[in-house]
Amino acid sequence: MFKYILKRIGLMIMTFFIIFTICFFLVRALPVSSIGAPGSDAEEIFRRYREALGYNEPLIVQYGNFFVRLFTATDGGNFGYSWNIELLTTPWDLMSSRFPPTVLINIYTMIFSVPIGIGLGIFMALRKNHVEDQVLSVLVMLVISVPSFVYAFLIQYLFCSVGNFPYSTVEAVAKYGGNWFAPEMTASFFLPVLAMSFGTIAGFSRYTRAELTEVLTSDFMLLARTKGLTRTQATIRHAFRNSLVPIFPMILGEFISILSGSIIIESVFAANGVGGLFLESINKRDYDVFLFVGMFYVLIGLVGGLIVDLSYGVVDPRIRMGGKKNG
Amino acid sequence: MKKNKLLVLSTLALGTMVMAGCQNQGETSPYKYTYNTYLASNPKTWNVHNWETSDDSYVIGFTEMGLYDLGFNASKTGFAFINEMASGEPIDVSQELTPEEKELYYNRATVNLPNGVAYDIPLNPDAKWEDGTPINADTYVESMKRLLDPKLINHRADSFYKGSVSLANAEGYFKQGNDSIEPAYSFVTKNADMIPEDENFQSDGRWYINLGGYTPYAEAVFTGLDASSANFYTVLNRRSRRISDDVENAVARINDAVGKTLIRIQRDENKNSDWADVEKVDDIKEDKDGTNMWDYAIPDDEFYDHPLTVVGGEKADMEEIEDYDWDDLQEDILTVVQGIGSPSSFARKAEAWKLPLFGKYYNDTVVDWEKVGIKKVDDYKIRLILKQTNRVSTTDLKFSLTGNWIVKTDLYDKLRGKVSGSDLEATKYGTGGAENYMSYGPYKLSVFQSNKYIEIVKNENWYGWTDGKHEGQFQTERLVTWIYDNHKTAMLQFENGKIDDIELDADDMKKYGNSSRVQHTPTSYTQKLSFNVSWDALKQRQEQAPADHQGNKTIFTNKNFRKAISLSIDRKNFASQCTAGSSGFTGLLNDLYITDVESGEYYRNTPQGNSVYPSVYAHLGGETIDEENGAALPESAIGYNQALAVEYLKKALQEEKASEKAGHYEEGQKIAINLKVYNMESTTTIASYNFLKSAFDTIGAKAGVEFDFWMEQDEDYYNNAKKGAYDTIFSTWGGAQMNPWGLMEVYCDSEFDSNCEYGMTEQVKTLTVTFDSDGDGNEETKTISGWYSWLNESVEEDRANFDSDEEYQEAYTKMHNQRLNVLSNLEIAYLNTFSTLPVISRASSSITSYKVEFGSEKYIPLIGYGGVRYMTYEYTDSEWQAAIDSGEINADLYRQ
Repeated sequence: MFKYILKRIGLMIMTFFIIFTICFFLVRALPVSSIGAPGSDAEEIFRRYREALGYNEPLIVQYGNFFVRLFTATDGGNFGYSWNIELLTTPWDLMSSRFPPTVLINIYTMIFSVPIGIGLGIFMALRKNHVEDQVLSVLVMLVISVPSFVYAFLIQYLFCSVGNFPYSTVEAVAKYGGNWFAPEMTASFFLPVLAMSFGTIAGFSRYTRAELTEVLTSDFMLLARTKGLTRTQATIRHAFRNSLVPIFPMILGEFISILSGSIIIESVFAANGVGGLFLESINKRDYDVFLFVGMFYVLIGLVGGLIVDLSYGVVDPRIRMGGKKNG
Repeated sequence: MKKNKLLVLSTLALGTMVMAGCQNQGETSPYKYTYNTYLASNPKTWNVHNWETSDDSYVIGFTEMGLYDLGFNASKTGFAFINEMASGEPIDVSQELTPEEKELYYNRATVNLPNGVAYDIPLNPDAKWEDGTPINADTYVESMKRLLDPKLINHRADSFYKGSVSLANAEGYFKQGNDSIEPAYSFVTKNADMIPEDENFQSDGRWYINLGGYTPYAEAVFTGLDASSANFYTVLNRRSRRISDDVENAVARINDAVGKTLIRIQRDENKNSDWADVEKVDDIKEDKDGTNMWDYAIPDDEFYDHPLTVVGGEKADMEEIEDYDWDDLQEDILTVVQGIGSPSSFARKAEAWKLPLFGKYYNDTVVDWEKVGIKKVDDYKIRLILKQTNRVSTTDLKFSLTGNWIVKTDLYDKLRGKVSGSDLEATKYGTGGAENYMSYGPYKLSVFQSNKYIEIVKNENWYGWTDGKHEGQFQTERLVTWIYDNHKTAMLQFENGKIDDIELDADDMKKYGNSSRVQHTPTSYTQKLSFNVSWDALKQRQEQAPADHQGNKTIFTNKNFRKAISLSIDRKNFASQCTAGSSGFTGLLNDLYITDVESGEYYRNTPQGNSVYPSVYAHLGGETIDEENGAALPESAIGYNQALAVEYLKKALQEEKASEKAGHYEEGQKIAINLKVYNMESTTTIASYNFLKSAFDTIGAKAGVEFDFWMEQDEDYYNNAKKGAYDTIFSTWGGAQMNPWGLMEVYCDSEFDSNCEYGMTEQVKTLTVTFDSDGDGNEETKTISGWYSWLNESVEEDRANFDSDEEYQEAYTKMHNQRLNVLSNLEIAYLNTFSTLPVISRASSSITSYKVEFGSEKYIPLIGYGGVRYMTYEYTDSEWQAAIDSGEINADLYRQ
């Protein structure tokens, strides 16, 4: 197991550098143009500016310079600076300033939607093929099929246009600054959380229903009932636990995605989180920010994948990682 | 147990949200008048030395103040200058410079200076920073020193070494110790080998070619070029005659080679075979490293194998070019230079290929700060000494100084440092937060939360609150600016009363277009329907038209046909149904153009400007054609007379049927008009197309001819139009409001390549206009082109040349009127060709809440509706909130 983990970490580091290198070269190969007219002094200043930053060097030299700076910078700019989003701000500062709304919205969404989704799934499995199940199944499919930003606009219309919902995230942030747990701040997350929850609830309920339905029809469930357990006892003690094997990594995956934002939902509800930062860094050719944010998520994805894989073995002791065939 | 915990946690989270939703909104604010607005994008910096976009400059629009500013004149019908950070008018001291000063700034103690190169500016002694520190002459001098600091490479440095206020030696100071790409023409000598004189030129040993870069070489070839068109591209492509096949092919190859090399990563390889498509400067700007330069080192495997066509398309010169390399390029440039583009003294030199090229120049000349043309005269007076060639009038100087450059230098320096891993020094002044900045205008920055919220409040230390000169101004006490990148979200905030203004798009206009709260902000651009008027080009297009769009096109060359098209367009309804705030218009120069900055005279308000519409539509008001005595079409009709449009269409059909030219209109033919548009999916484009189609179909039905008006998407339609590959397009043209004279270049200069009425370029050389330009009772005749040249060469009188103000005023007025006469007659002459049909004067629209009123109901050029300076409040913040809560103010109210 330990060797397996080491091997995975080694592969992870290699993958990380390959992706980093590809991103580094691709983003710097994108065309850049000055605001100034061709041949104007504004353009000449733009050229000088880029030259001073080393952006006119061959890409391979820039690549080398990046690592030199990474290990030698003494002014805190090891990962560079933002030049086009917020002048001279380090990518970490930029990203961390936009993390709180993104993280909180995702945490609230999880707290809100995972129990409801699993609960609905259990209910649907127990009422399989009844009217309730069929109605809910149709609704679940409908919700899964529609992208979350559609709900976002619908919710925005119902709550903000028709209902005049009094809170907006950006206003709450402005008012309470760093106090992310102020009541009004929390209330302002209600709409984006709602918009993001639909899909999560539908996903978990569908998955739970499917897993639980399968387990409920297993032979050991029949045995449990014949042993004298009530249906509720058999379902909770045996069926639900067994069905959690594939659902648990799903919950873990959901936790990992907490750090990633939703560009459209953040934009619609003016949460101004980390979701739009990545896109902005590409559009504005803010190389250092793009690389930092991009590679942060690559790292999260890689670590997340590893943790999810390892979690299978924790949830179900029958699953072993890295085992070899004997004899 | 675990289940219970989860349940409790979920309930708590939900409960918190719900309870929070019930919190009391009541709060107290020290401010009575708050203006809430939004930005779509976060400013990356608002450092006055380094800002780039309008969002960047947003903050300083409130927190800083120019030496001079523009306000309403006494009658609120125009603008007037106001002394702000300056305490009086600039004083021309050009003749008072001492020999020592001349030696310092111009390297010659005895130099004779014209007026307008040195000014003293008296400073406002009451000006202070928001912390109460006085602002004095040292502040201005030290701030300029930082703006021009060569190590900082500030984006706004060029404001004071190029343009109307170019300080003496500022360019050298800013560029010292740095490389810059400079034109070779400035460095080569006229002697035998044309070796660059300055050893710092070509510091990296390379030559660069830049078709769009300014070079004095272009000015040596073509006189009268402005800075934006004085480049090698102009030399290559603005020739009015064929020189030889060798030159034509060399031009084609240079265009092709540079174009191909620069843009090959973005373009479809197939398109590269069409060399005419790759000659655009705009495309070249898309160079991968953004420097718009091309290194001479063409890779060995770079070659072309496609045939080239001689310019003009007269014959196919199927020359195969392979392995086109630096030597070939050099030879082609030499051919061009010797053939068309060189003053005679250079032409015969074998090294003449150097003339249009560029080289890297290492500026090692040390320029001491003392030599830069700004100095402290006393604590509250500064002297600006401009380049010797940079004469500027007092009015133009004041215009230029409506912006400022001062920074709080101690804070600026504290936040300054070298950026690791680079050669750059930078400062965080005006970046990231209010603590990194110091205001000195009527407002100060109090909160800057990146990407979320900006709060600007009244600056108690501003001199204007107590100087008695700003009574009734700046009533706003606080400006709150949110960052909403989603328009729909911003619109909901406006509808809920949370922001006080929003820019409207075409969809919003359907909802709010008729609101009394909508304001239109005109731009200087006129949108026109431009026609191809070249018989040959149209005939060819007619023959090559797709099977489902067969029809006659040569009829577009008939002026009566185009007149019919023009008269069939109800411009007023077009503007209201198809655009967001534009207005119907029939001229080339709209209401914004200013012909006399000093007096604030608008071209459209002059008798000459007013004479244009009646001159074009003098006899187009009746229902039948009577070009001698017909009724005038009232201005309220804005060029629309459907009945007469039908008559002109009938007349055109008759004339064309009688024509004997091959390809003329024949009885029973459809008239096939192809409208090329940039984006067929655009709501505005679709609405515009449908509107025009309906108008054409209506007059066609009445005149007994069928129109086949169809739309085609062509993202390169402007360039295709310039080549004649179109029937009609929407063309839009406009420019600097203070320079209507130069704007006529597109219509009158046969060498200007942005004319979108194909076939007109040649006509302007022969189309003569006769009128009495100088009021002496005698008429003068010139071609359009000739009048335009006269307009450019004529200069309004200089006060320094006259003994008394009266004499000067008389001479000035005479010359000014003459120029106005020429300008209006040029406009009339071009409009009367009906080759371009102005449809709308472009504008954007916004809607403002009932909370505030602007200073003027009418848009006034350069100051708009008066901005925050003249804004007044109908509601206090608490009254406004109460009105929102009670439903007195709601979204429906804005639809009225």
